Amino acid sequence: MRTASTVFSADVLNIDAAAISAGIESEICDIVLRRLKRKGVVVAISGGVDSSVVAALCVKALGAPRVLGLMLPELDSSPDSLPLANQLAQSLGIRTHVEDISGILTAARCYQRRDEAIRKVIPEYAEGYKCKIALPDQLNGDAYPIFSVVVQSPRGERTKARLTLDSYLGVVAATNFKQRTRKMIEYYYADRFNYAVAGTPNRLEFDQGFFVKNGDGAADLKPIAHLYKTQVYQLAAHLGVPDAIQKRPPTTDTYSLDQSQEEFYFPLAYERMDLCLYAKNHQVPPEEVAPVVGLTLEQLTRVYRVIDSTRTATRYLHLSPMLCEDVPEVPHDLGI
Amino acid sequence: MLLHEELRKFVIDNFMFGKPCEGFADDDSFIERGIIDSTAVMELIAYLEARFRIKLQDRDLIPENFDSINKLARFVESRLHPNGKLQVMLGTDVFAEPLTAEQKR
Repeated sequence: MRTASTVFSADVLNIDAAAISAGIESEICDIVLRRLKRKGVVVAISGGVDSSVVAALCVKALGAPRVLGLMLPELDSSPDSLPLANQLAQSLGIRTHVEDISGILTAARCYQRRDEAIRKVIPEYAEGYKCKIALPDQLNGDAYPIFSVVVQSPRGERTKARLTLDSYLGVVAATNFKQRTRKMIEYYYADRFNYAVAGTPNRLEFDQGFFVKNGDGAADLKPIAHLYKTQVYQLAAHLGVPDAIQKRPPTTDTYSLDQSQEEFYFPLAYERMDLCLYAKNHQVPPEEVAPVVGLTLEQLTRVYRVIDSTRTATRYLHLSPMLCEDVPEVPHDLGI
Repeated sequence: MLLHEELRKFVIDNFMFGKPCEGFADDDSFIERGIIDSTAVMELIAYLEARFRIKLQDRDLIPENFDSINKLARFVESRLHPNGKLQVMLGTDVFAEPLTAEQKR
């Protein structure tokens, strides 16, 4: 941990993985068994590092028989996701269920609604095309974070167009079906076995609102929400998460074209984004931070501005429903 | 109504629910005053393109052009009349003449 006399470096994010893991395991036991009075935990495992670490922590805390891994692929999921999730489940010795949610999404017209929204700006977009949405470079210019849609024809030709407000809202509303459908299935199994649902956001995602309200943002506990992603990787190594998962580049796994998280949300890859967020949270002078993260002062200022504006824009995602008057018999923390 | 008055009315009606923030001035930064976010910028783009028949490029979408009433007014005027100042009057058909190449851009 940084003190006033230390020089800022990437080492500020180094943790004692064994001690941190033990602390979280103890908390998981307390939350799930004593406070929530549940028999175990459901974790949706995507083959990514965050959900893998959460599942591994739950196994260490509660034992493998009390952890259920869910694999919830859909038409646009990466073909890598399911095998990696299976590899994790085997290494942890947990039981799993696979529920392909494509049928539910099709019935809800998720893909159809998304495609109609895309066609408002790229009329030729049709069956067989792939798509993703992308932000402009937020590091080297002052452009507003207005999304574009990128489509790829079956012949491999790519077209990019800026989304209008109507088409943007249409694409987001439709694709959010995916996270909300997954959560519905997670709670089915939680109800079925009297389990709690573990959410898997890391600190960067939790702070910056990188989740869908009532989708992946919903959970009974979020064991790694206080850890920077860099620290989640350290835990992954400590917990013996399979190498292939530790080496997998972070992805949103939401659109049919490959999409990095920085293309979709953050101005930098997680290693540097973590350091910027840490430095901002600890009021480290920008002059110390910029050379460590390999940015100019101007670029760092832009990253800080994005952190602030994203925090402001996404704070409501954390809110419980707001009441017009207090109900004293139902206090906010419920005394649990 | 002058251009900047029309723009001010649009911003107040759409982003302040018709009630301007206390002391809201035409030079005030929308970002610093927390008046608009990226979704609101998209609303603004749609309004400008429809009302003034201008096509905005990605390079136009920067705070230098959008972050206050006065900046917006200067930007719209520069796009409508790139070679000189034009005061747009609400209710006046500023598009009576054929669109210039710049306006069609």
